[in-house]
Amino acid sequence: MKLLLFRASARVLWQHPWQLALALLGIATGVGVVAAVQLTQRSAQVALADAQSSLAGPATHRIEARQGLLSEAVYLRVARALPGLKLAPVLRGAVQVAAADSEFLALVGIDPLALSGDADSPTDLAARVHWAAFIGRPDTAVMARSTAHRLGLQPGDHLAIRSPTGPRSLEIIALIESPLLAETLLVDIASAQEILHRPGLLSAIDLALPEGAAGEQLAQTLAQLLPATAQLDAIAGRIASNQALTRAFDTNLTALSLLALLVGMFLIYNTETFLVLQRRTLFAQLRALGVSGWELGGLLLTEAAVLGLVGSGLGLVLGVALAQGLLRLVAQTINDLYTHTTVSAVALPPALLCGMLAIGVIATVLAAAPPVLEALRSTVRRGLASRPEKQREVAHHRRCRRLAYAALALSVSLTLWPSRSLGLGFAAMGCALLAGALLMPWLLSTSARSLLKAMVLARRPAAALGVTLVARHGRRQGLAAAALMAASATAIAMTIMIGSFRISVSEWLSQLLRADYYVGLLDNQGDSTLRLRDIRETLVQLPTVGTTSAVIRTRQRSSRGDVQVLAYDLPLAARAGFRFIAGSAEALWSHWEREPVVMISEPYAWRHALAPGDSVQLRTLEGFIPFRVAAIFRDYASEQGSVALSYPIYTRYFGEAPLNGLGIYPAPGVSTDALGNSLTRATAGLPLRVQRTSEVMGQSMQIFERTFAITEVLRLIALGVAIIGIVAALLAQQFERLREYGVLRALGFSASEIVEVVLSQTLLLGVVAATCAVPLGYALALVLIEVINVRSFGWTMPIVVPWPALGSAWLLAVLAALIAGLYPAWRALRALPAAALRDE
Amino acid sequence: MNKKLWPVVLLGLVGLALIGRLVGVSPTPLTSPDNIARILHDDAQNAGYARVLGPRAFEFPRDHAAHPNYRHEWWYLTGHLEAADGTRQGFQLTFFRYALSPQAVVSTSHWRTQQALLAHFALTDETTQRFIHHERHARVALGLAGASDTVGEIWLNDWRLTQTGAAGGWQLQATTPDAALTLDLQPRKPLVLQGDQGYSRKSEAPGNASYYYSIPRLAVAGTLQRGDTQVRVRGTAWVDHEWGTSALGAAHSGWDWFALQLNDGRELSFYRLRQIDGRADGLSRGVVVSPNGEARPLDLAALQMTPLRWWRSPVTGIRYPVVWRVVCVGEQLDLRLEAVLDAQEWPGSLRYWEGAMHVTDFATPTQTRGRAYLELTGYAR
Repeated sequence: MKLLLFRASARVLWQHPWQLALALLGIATGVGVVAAVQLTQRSAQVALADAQSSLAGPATHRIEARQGLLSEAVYLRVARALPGLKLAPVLRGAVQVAAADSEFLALVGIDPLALSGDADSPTDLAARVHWAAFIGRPDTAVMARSTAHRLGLQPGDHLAIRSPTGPRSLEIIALIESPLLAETLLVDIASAQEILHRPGLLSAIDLALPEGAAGEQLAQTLAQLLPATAQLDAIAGRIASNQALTRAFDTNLTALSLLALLVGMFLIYNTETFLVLQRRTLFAQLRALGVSGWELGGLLLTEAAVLGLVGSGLGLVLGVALAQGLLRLVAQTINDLYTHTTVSAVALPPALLCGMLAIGVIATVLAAAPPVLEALRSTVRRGLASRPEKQREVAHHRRCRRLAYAALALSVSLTLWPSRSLGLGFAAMGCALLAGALLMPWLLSTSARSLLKAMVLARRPAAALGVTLVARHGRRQGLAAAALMAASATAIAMTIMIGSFRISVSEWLSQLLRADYYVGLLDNQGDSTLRLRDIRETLVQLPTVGTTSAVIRTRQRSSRGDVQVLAYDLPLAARAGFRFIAGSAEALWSHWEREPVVMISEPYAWRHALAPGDSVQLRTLEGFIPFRVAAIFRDYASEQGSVALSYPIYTRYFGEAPLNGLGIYPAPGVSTDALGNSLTRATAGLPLRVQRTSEVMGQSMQIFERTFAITEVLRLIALGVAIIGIVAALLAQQFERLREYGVLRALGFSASEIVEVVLSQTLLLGVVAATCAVPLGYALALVLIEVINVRSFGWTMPIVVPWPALGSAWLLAVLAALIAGLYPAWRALRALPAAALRDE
Repeated sequence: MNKKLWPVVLLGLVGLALIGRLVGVSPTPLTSPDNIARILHDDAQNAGYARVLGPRAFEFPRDHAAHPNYRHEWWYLTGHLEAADGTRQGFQLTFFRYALSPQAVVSTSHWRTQQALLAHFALTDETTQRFIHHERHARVALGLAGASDTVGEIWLNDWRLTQTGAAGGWQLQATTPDAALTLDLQPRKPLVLQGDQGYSRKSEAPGNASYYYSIPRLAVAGTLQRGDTQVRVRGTAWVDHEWGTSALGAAHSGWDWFALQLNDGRELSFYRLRQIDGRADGLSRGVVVSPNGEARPLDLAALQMTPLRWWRSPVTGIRYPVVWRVVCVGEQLDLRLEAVLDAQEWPGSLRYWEGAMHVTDFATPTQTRGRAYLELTGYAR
C-alpha cells in the first residue's frame, strides 16, 4: 500500500515537470544563496588569517624603535636572551627605478630562514624561491608577477635602480603570485642593508608569542630586555581591525542570507501548496479507501524531504559557484582597505556543507507542513460551500492584521530599546518585515475590491475578472506579494543606507580636506632617509606656498588598550574642517595648543562610552596621564576610532616623531595649478606622493565604493533570487489557471481579453507590493542607519533618500510581476478551448 | 521520453555543468619541500666549490670541524637513552650545513653570509610512544649560528654540539619548549673511516663522493628535562660526520641507512643507495666493527636488506618501510629491525624518516639483539 502511495506521488510530480522544476529551483536558490554567503564568510576569515601570517609569519608582536630605525643590537640581545623565540628582522625603504624617473618601488628586506622556522609546512615564500641565491648573492630580488609584468621583467632579468648608495642592478631571481608584494622589491635583509646603506639597522623585528599567560610573561621579559629607544607592540591593532571588518561583512552577509532563506522557504511553501491542492481529489479518494491521515501526511512530508534533499544538493553546487565570485570581491575589499591577501580557493568544510543540506531539508519539510495539514483537514470537509470559505478568509485576514500590529509594536520597541546588541537590531528589522508581510494579503484583497468598482465602471470586464481573481485568492497571491515586497523593501533600505553613507562621507571629506595639496612619503614607514620635516621646511620657503599643516599618526598605549593617536599641526583655515557631534569647538580650540585636551572620533566615543568632559588615559613619557575630551568629531576614517591632539601637546608628552603627512595651502593670489607646478618642481626625484586634494578625495571615494561593492552585489543577488522566486510562484499560480482560461476562451473571451485577465492580476500584485515596499524600506533604512550602523561601526549620519534609486526599485518590482504574467498569458492564448473543456 | 520533462532535464544539466566547473577549479599550488636527494644532486650549482675526488689524509681533531669550502656537510648524532626511572628514549640531533654561494662577498651588512645551518632535534619516547621533533634554520651570521672551521663546534642559538677531545668526545645541548637534553658523549671505540679510507663514492661520476667517518659507539650520560621534571639518562650513541659537494648521481632516488649497535659488542652500519628503478646501486657500502674495534668494509653482496612492513604517513602520504630483515652471512647475522614507533617522519622542509629501531633475532623475535637507528630518504614520489 505504502509503495502504491509513493508511486502515486512520484507520478504526480512526473506529470507536472514545471512544478517539479520550480520547486527544485526554489529550494536550490534559497539554499544556494545561504551556502554561498556562509562559504564566502569562512573563506574570507581564512584569507584574513593567512594574510596575517603570510609574510611576517604568524607574528603577534613587533619590536620597533620609538623613533627612526632599530639597532640590530636589539635583535642580538633578544635572540641571545630568548633563543627559542622566532624573530623575523625587517628593513624597509624605497628605491627609484632608473628607467622611469618618477617611479619608486618599496624595498623590503627579510630573512627567509627566520620565516621557515619550526613549522611542518614551510611558508609559500620558502618553497617558491630558490633562496640559496636570494641569501647568498648580493643584489638579488623577488617581485610580484604583476609588477614584473608591468615593468617588462622576466626571471633572470636585471632591474636598474637608483639607491642611496648609487646606481645598482638587481637581478630578479623569481616572480611570485602575490598582491602582497605589488610594487615591492623583496630582498634579503643583508641586501637591504647594503642597498639602502643602513648597516646595523632594522625597521622592525616581528615575533610570535604564544597566547595566554606564557605569552604575557614573555612579553614582560621582552619589555625589560628592550632598551628605552625600542618598544614592543602587539600587532593586535591590525588583527582587531580585521576582526571588525569580518564582523561588518558577517553582519551584512548574514542578514542577506537569512532573507534568501526566507524567500526560498516561501517558494517551497508555494510549491507544496500547489502540489497538495492539485491532489485534493486523489487524497479524498485515498482517505475513502481507508488510508489514514497519518499515512497520507507521512507520505507528503517524505515527498517534501526528498524534494528538499535534491534541491539542497543542487543549491550547494550553485552556492559554491556563487561563493567563488563573491570571494573575489571580498578579497578586493580586504586588499583595498586593510591588508594584502591572496584569497584563491573557497574552503569547503564538510560540516558546513552537511549543515546546509540539513537546513535545506528541514526548511522544505517545515514549509510543506502547513499545506499538508490543511489538506488533511480539508479532505474531511471537502465540498463545503464557498461562503464559509469566505468567512474563513475574513477571519484569516483579521488574525494576520492583529499579528502584524503586534510585530510592528515589537519592532518599534526593539528599535528604541537601549541596547548595544546587533542581534536586537536585526530582530527589529525582521519584525518590521514580518509585519509588512502579514498585512500583505489583506492589503491586496482590499485594494483589489476597491479597484473592482473602477474596472466595472471603466467597462473592462476582463480586467475586472482578473482583479476579482486576486481578491478571491488573496491568501495565496498575498504570499507572493509579501515575498516581493520584502525583497524590494530590503533592497530599498540598503539603497537608502548606502546612499546616505556615500553623501555623508563625501561631505565629510570635502569639509576635512582643506589644503590644496597633500604630500606624503612613498614608503610611508617614516624611516626613510627623507624626512617630511625637512621637506616641509623647504616647501614653506616657496613663494607659492602660504601655509602648511602636518599630521603624525602613531599608536599609543591607553588605559583602554592601544589607540591611534593623531597629532595635528593645523593652521586656522584647517580647523574649520572638523565637524563636532558633541562638545564645543570653542572649548576645544581655546585650549588646543596649551593644555592636554583631545578630541576623539565618533567611533572611539561610541566604543568606550565617552562624552566631552571625560578623559582618556594615555601612556606618555611621564607615564599615564589623563587627557580631557573637549569634543567628539565626525570621522569615517577608522572603525576603531582615534584620539587627536595638537602637535605642541604631542611633542611635550610623547617626544618628537616623524611626520606622516603634510597639507599645503597656497599663498594669497596663487592658483592651485601654480602651486602644483612649483611643488612638482621642488620635489622632483624625491620618493614623495604629491596629490591634489581632488585626487585624494577621488581615491577615498573609490575605496568607499569598493567597500560597498560586495554589499551591492549581494543586494542584487538577493533581489534577483527573490524575483526569480516570485516569478516562479506567480508562474505556478497562473499555470493552475490555464484550464480556467481555456474555459473563458470557450465562453467567448477574445485573445486580448485573456491576456488582460492574466496581466491585470500580476500587475495589480506587483503595484501593491512595490508601493508598500517604499514606506517599509524607508523604515528599515532608519533602523539600518540609526541602529545597525551605530552598533557595528559607531558612526552616525543624516538620512538621505535617493529618489531615482527608489523609483527604479519600484519599477523593477512591478516589472518582475508583469514578466511573470507574460508566459502564462501566452500559454493561455495557445490553450485549446476544446481540450480545456474536455479536461474539465 | 516525456516531452514535458525538459525543464527537469535542463535544471539537471545546469547542475552538472556547475559541478564540472567546480571540479575543474585548480587547487592552490602545494608547496613542495626539497628532497634531500635533489639537493645533493644539483650539478649546476657546484661550480666554485671544492670537490671530493679521491682519498685524503684525515687529521683529527681538525676534521671534526667544518669544511666550508665544500658545499654541504653534516654532523649526525643518534642514540638510545635509558632514564633513571626506567623510561627509554631514542634521540637525534643533526646539524646540516650548506653553502649558499662559493664566493665570499665583502659587505657592510652583518647578515651577509655564504653559509646556512639547518638543525633537527628529535626524541622518540618508547614509553609514551611519542615522537617530538623540532627544526631550526638560520644563516651563519651575527654569531647566532655557526660552525667553527678549526674545532668541532656547531651551534644554532642554544642548540650546540662541542667537541671535547681529539678522540671524538662531544657535548650536546638542545632545548625546545617540550624538552631539554644535555649530554656528555665519550667514545668507546676508535673512529671508523667509511668507504675507501674515508673516501665514500656515491656514483661513478668523479666528484660524486663525500668524506665520511663514524664513531660507532659512544657512552652517553646527561640529563633530560621534560616539563618540570628532570631525569638523569645514560645510553649509547653513534656519530656520523660527512662532507662533500655533490653526492648522488642522477639515477639515484635516495638511500636507506642504518647504524646497528649489537649487545655482543659489534656494530654494523650500511647505506644502501637506491636507484630510480628501485634497485640498489653497486656502490652501496657498509662497515662492521668487531668488539675490539677492528673495522671490516661491507659491499652490496655482503648484506641483504628486505623490507617486511610499510607504513604510510598520514601527514605527507609517503610510504616508508619500517620493519626490515637484515642478513649478513659473513657475520652470521639474521636480524629483524622494527621501528620503536612508526611515526618518526620529518615532514618539514626536508622530508625523510629517521627513527629508533628494536633489533631482534629474526628466527626468535623475542630475543633482543641490540638497538639501531634507521634513515629512509627519497620515498616521496
